[in-house]
Amino acid sequence: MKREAVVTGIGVVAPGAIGATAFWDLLTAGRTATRHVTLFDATTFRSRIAAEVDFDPAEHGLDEEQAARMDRYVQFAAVAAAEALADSAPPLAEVPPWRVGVSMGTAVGGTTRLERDYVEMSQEGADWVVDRSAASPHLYRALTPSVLSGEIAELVGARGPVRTVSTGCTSGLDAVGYAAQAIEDDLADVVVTGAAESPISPIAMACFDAIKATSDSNDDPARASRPFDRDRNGFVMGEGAAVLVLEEASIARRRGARIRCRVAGFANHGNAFHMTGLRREGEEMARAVTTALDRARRSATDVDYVNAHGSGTVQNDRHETDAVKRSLGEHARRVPVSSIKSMVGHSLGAIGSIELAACVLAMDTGVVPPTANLSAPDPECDLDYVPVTAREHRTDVALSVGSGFGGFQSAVVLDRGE
Amino acid sequence: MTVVITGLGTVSPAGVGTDGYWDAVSEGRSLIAPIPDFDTDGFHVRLCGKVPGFDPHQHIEGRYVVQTDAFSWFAMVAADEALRDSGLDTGTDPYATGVLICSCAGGVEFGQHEIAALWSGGPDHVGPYQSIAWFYAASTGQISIRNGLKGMCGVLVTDEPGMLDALGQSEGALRRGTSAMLVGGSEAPLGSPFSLACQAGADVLSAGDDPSSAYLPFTERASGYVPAEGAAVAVAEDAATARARGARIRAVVAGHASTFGGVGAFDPGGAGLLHAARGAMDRAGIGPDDVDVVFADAVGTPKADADEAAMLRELFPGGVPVTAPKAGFGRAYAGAGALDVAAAVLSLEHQVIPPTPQVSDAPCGLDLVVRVPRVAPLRTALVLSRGLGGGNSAVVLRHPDHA
Amino acid sequence: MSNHITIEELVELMSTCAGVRTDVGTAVTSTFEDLGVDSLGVLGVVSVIERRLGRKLGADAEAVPSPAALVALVNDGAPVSTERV
Repeated sequence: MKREAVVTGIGVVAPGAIGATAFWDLLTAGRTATRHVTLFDATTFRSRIAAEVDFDPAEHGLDEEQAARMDRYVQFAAVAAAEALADSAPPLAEVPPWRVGVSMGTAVGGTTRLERDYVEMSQEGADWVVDRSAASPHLYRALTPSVLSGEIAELVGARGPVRTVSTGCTSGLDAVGYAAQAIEDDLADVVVTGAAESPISPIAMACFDAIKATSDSNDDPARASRPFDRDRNGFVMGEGAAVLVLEEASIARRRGARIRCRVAGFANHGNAFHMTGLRREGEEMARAVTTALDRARRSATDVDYVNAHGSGTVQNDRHETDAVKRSLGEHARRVPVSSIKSMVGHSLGAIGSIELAACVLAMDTGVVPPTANLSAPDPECDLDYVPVTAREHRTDVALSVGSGFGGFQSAVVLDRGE
Repeated sequence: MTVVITGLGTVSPAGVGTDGYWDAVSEGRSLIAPIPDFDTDGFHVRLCGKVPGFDPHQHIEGRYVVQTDAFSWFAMVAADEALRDSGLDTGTDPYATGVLICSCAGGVEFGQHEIAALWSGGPDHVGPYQSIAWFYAASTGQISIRNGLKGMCGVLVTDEPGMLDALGQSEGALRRGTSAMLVGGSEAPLGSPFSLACQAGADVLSAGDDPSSAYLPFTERASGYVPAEGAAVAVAEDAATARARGARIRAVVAGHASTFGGVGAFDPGGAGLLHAARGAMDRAGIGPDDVDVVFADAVGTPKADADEAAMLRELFPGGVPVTAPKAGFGRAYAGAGALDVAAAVLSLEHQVIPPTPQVSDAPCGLDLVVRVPRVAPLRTALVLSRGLGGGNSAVVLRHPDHA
Repeated sequence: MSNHITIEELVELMSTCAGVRTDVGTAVTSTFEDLGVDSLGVLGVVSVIERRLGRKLGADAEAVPSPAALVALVNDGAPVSTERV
């Protein structure tokens, strides 16, 4: 019998909302968590706004040693993983640890700590040959984000395939897609998966300043992230994590677990075009959607809800609109499409998993989250983006799409099984 | 489905190109030399395995060179060689070929320049390429763009085992309809003092200043490893597809498995690596007697070496030839597993086990191939790899005539 | 500091910032796209010019289609942005 991956638990650390319940309250209320940057002094930056997580590791059960050892993005992941494990209660006592895997995504990993230590070691950038003695004892853990999956594996007790996926801004979709494939391919029975990012640091903000990809609506941070709106002017940086517990379906059924949904299909493609630019037609993203639907054995008209990449850059939102039309045909005009980045910002590698958590909650509750701040749509973005207000709408099949630097285009289909 | 390797490319401390790599490796030549670019007094490391005289402009168009860090240069150049070697037609259907290049440190030298510019000059001193050069996905993205490849595109960060895991992942991609995967590992961690400081923090680098004794895995004088840079890229295809197009099959990827052993140590106790090796052998349908040579991980610290040696003795009670060519040039992080896979493929092709350079005796109860290459009938090689992030992986490679 | 740039300087900047080598004759008759200078390359060139001149060239600078047009924008009295430099 074909092996299938089902979601039995979720955990979320999002800007303005820690925990899946608070996260869903924020989204369905259409509240925005974007504000002036407080994590560092951004006075001299072009974009000085972000969606930040107010986070005290001690409050969420991390001890001092863990808080010192783990970079901020790993802390987010640990807290989200603990929530997801409590939600799912996977049968870790019965599944051999060799059959438990971890698949976590991140785009920039330990950048925040790398930069902070670098500044200490280089006299604020003056010395090329840095002073090693000024490094924090955990610096080596910041160099490679394999540590993200490793820390979650230790938390879970996983000893099976443990990997970090780092495909830029599609990392959060790809990590979950790979996790589902690991279950389908009989490499693991339980995979703890998701993604985490904490990129609100000078260097990460500056690199997007340099290419004007982020919004400079510094006077109106709450309304700065405006996907599909005529007045959108870039994305707003976010941070956070989401973790999903995936299980092989028959195991979940046997133990009577609450099955939230199935990870039915996943596909990704390179656009082979440009590291940051997108071809207007959205052919490669459309192809990812079509392939993911095929793998899910679903047709375009089965899709009840599209969680958009919707970053709020001029080119992305048009590219994506065209990709959705190209892949879903006439159905594209009937299906609600929304971008939660309007509320929680764009947390690079993490956002794909946060968006999948939103899809799971939309399926659970029969409500789709809105695209906040959408008051006057771009005439070239002409789908139903669920402006401003959440909507009651039954979702049995959800599609989440993502697009990232490097040309990555990904799609994940969630459904209730066959 | 059977995964086969139909193309290989390397950039290594032996230079650009797989032929030169095999020449150096099979002779057991030492390629270890002082770190050339800056004073490493404060870092407790003096030696490295650096790609000699590498000028990216000789191999890559200028507009790609300015956008990228050296880790992507190596990956692009190795990918070029692998594609040429495979004779793959990537033009007819761009969706037929995917890319999966692993790195564990990303473009850290590029990043150091830009962070320095930011902190000494301000945000408007950061250039437009920082957003695409530093992140771990840079090499996969650029190779996809430069070669017009739109198949499944991925990036794994599993440290040294990256390439082994990429081969495992490519099996899933090929089974799901991608025709060929360009998989590899690439790393350039030597040009940046900051990168070296990060590595030094893990206390696993050799502080030795004598190239002939700085990296001596499995010996009593083992005192850490020498850091290296480099890349290897392979073209992986389904055997049937490869045969149908008349491709030269260089090796069969018969099995892969990976496990987790704990963050910050190289699989203490060795149980994780043992389980990975058994998993890969089970999937290949072979037993210990079928393995003709093991390419060991060979970290070069006493504890990690002892664990690996014990695990090998347990897995191969009748003994097995073991080698670690990387002792001649160092450990290139995500490039390490990749260069080992390349060495294993070449070893099967040439029916020669390359020696473990610098090591003159064979301790730990292992049949370590030392001093001179050993000619032997080779059908099956087992490649082992561990990372500080906790990953352990194993791949079984078989000669195409005996798979 | 000069308030102007020459086409020769721009040719040099296209090489260092965008990795595209060309000559003055080709540069004056070509668009950035013809030369293979992509959007990021133009952003990089503009940002270096802005730093050298100590003034912003305005939001339209990256949208300038060709080296000749960029030289004209810089030298022929482009509006000086009031943004912080």
